Amino acid sequence: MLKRLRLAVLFIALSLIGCEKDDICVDGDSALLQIEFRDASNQEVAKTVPGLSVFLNDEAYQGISSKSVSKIDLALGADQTLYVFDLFQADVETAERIVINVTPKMTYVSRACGFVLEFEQLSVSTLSQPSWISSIEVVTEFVNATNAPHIVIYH
Amino acid sequence: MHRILSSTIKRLYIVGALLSIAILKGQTTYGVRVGADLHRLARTALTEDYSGFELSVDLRLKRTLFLSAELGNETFADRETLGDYLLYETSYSGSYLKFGADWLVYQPKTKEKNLVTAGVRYALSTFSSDLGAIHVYDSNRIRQPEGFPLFSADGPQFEGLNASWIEGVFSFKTGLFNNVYLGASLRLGFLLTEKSPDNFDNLWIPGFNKVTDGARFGLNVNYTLSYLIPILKK
Repeated sequence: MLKRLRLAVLFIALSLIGCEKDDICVDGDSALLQIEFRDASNQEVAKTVPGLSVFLNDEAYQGISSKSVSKIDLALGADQTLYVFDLFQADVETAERIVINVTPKMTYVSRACGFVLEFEQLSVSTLSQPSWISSIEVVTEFVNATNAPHIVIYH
Repeated sequence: MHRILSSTIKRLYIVGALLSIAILKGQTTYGVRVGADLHRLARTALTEDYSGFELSVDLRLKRTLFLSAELGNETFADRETLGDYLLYETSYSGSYLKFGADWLVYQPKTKEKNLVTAGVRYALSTFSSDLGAIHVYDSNRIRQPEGFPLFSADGPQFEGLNASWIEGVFSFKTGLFNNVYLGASLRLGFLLTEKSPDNFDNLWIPGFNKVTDGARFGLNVNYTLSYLIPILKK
């Protein structure tokens, strides 16, 4: 009887060995679309946009309103492919309207992280008459968490 | 695959039975032991996310040598979370066959019905996996202040996956009454080959159990009730 009891204890012990603590995700992250602003006359140099506001459907996008910055990160969604943004800067009345096209994609990373959001086939075009932006360059069509900037805007 | 597995088992059984008649000598009961895994049956009954069974067969060739095989089928549904939030749901389903040998490590002279054995198996599994809801991991809280953004409510399904591994087995058996035995075994598998889907991994394999990131080891157990069909006693 004692033997059988020992066997039962062993069985429970064996069953518990398979349990592990939850892993922590350190291997990847979802991508933010980074747009960098550079000087049109000296294309290697970052140039701050005074009082930048980004509007999507007449609303400030992700709190980017009257910010003097030389780059912005846009957390594009998992289910949207087309964005029409209006870019204002403090010194200029008229907005630049740009269209960003992306294909969201999920990429498997690891057990603990699961999947992260990345974007393919990034393209940008302008819809408005040129205002304060002189040109736009797509640096890479593939957007992940580590290859920023993805778009450079010269002004 | 099922047919291949079961016909292989049958062949093993017949060859073994013939061998046992030809080879046998010694003082112990020789025969074919057939059994079912109680651990998998209990888990099927007690948990929502698992169903499966395992049949085992072994044949005593010599006093210290057994030919052994296990055949099983398992379905397992898993979900990976981070904190309170779901990342993704998966399920796996498939069959496996393990075959190899066990050597007697210890058998008390006075209690012939207690056995301690150690052995090895070569194992094969064919299975499919299915991704359920997929939320993408996102460390910044702009897209979603709480939880993770949903990418797909029902992810892709992957057919025709397979894996092979070798397994070290350590097991105990004790005779309960007549020729009925109760046994437990601990098995450490080392993955040899696997066919994984594109853009996902095999995180669980029938017969192998959980596959850990960056490691090829897997741990599984069984707890078997078996019946020894005596062929020869000497």
